[in-house]
Amino acid sequence: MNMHTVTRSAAALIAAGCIGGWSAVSAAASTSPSPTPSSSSDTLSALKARCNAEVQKREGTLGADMTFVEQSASLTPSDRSTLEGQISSDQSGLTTLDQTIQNDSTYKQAHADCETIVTGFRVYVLEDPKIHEVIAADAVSASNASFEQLIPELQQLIDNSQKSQSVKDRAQDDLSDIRSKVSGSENSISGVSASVIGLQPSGYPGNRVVLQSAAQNIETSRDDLRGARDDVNDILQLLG
Amino acid sequence: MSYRYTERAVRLALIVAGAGFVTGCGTAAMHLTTAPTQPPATSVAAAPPAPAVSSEPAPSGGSAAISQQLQAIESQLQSVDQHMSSANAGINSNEGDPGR
Repeated sequence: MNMHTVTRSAAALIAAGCIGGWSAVSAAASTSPSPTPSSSSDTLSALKARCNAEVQKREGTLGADMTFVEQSASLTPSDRSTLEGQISSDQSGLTTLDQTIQNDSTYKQAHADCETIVTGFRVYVLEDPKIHEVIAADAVSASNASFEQLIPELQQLIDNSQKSQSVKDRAQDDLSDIRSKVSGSENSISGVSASVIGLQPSGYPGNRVVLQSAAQNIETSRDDLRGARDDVNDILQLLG
Repeated sequence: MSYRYTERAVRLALIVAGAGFVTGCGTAAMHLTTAPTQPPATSVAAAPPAPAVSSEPAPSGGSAAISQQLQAIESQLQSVDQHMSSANAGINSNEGDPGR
C-alpha cells in the first residue's frame, strides 16, 4: 500500500465517521414528532439526560431568583410572598416533570414531556423577567418614597440657606423640577408590579407585550429619578 | 521516499485529520444541542442588595444627611438597572426546545 492509497483510505474513514456522528446528532436535534433513532434505547437515554440538564438549568435560575426575592430590601411583603410562592411552585413542578420524563418508556413520550419544560414554565422568557421587573418596580416605588421624604428637607435647606437670593432661586427651580420628576415617576410606576406579577406561562407569548410595557414604564420612572437625583446634587452644590 | 518516512507522514495525516474530525463534529453537536436552549445571560448575581433607605439613621435636615439619603437612592437605582438588564435579556430571548 503506497502513501496515497493509505491517505485516501484514512480520509474516507474519517469522512464516514463524521457523517455517522452528524447523523446521530441530527436525529437528536430533529423536530419530528416521531423520530426514529437507530438505537432507540441509547437515544432515549440521551434525550432523558438532556431534558434533565435543562430542568437543572432552570432550577438554578429559579434558585437565584429566590435569593434575589428573599434579599431585596425594596419588595413589598405582598409581592415577596407572591413571588416566593410562584418560584416554589415552579421548582416543585419542574422536579415532578423531570421524574415523569425519566420514567417515560418511549422516545416520543419523553420528547413531548421534555417540551413541557418550556411550554409549562417559561422560566427564561416569562418567570425570570417577571421577577426582575417586580423587584425593579418595587425598588422604583421605594425610591419615590425616599424622594418624597427628601423634598421637605431640601425645602428647609433652601429656606435656611445664607446664600444669595439668586442662588436660592436656582435651588428652588431645581426643587420644583424634582417634584415634577418624582410625580412623573410615581405615575409611570403605578400599577406596574400588579400588571406583571400574575402573568402565567399559559398566556405566553400573548402576555409578552405586558412585560415589554412594564419594562418601558420602569425605565421611564428610573430616568425621571435619575434626573431628580441630579437636581438634588445640584442643590447641594449650590447651597453647600 | 522511504517506507519509514511514508509511515510517519501517514500517521501525521491521521492525527491532523482526526483532530479536525473531533473539533468539527464536536462543534456542530454543541451548536445543535445547546444553542436553542441557552438561558439568557441574565444573571445579576453581582447585584448588591439595595439598602433599606428608611432604616438608615439619617439625621433630619442638613446637606450631609441629604447626601447620605441620596447615596441610598443611588444604590436603589443601580439595583433597578441591574434587574432591568436581566429582565430585558429574558424578554428578548427565545427559549427554544430542550427536546431538540
